[in-house]
Amino acid sequence: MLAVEPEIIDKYVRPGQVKLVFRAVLNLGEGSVRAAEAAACAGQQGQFWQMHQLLFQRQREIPRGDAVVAGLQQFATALPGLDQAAFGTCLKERQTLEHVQATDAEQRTRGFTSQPSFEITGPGGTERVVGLPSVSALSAALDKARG
Amino acid sequence: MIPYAWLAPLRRVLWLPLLVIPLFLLAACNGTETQPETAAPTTADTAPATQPTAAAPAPTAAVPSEAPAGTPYNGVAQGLTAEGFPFLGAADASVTLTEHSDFQ
Repeated sequence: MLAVEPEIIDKYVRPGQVKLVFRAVLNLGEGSVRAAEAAACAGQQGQFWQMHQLLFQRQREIPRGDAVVAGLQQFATALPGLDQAAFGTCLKERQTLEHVQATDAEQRTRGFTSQPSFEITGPGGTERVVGLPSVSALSAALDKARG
Repeated sequence: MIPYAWLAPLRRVLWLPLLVIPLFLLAACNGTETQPETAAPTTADTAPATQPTAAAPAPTAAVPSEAPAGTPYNGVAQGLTAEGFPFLGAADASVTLTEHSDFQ
């Protein structure tokens, strides 16, 4: 999504026409869960989107196994203004795990098992897009949803 | 004339001040150096103790705020939906684009 996000934000989100919501999917085991928890922990401090950007930018560097918590804490040091101690506590105590797992379970019941997937709802109807669309394809779907 | 027999015991102790005075000075110098070292950690210990309390994470902000500068989200409102999912943009926008994605 990062590839098309800036254009969609500038064209639709910034002017107030579209609200962009993110819901984490947990398809790839412990790494997916821990990364989603990290984003939610940063979100507790109002920095979800900054962590979201960081995680997607450094997706291949997300450590696995026992190193994952330390690695995510290291990522978080790149976010200025984030209370690192509180973030570390949130991550270690798994304060957001329940929410992250519940989100994943709920969207699976609605058929969101492939990722990325997009759901566009508006006066013009609801549409699902599976896979990463181009800016033009996503723009067309958003324009249609606006009615 | 002082008889040599009287000087002999004095000559044996004359070197003692030469040994004691430098030791005394050394001890005095060490005393002044340790003072700031012990004072510094005291102040450093108290500062972080108050920091986490002051900067404790706000429980999920329901009121939209603005993303800080230096990100693609610069100046865009952000907040949480009623269900607790993070969003960007106007809370009352007519269209909602929901991304379901894995960070891994």
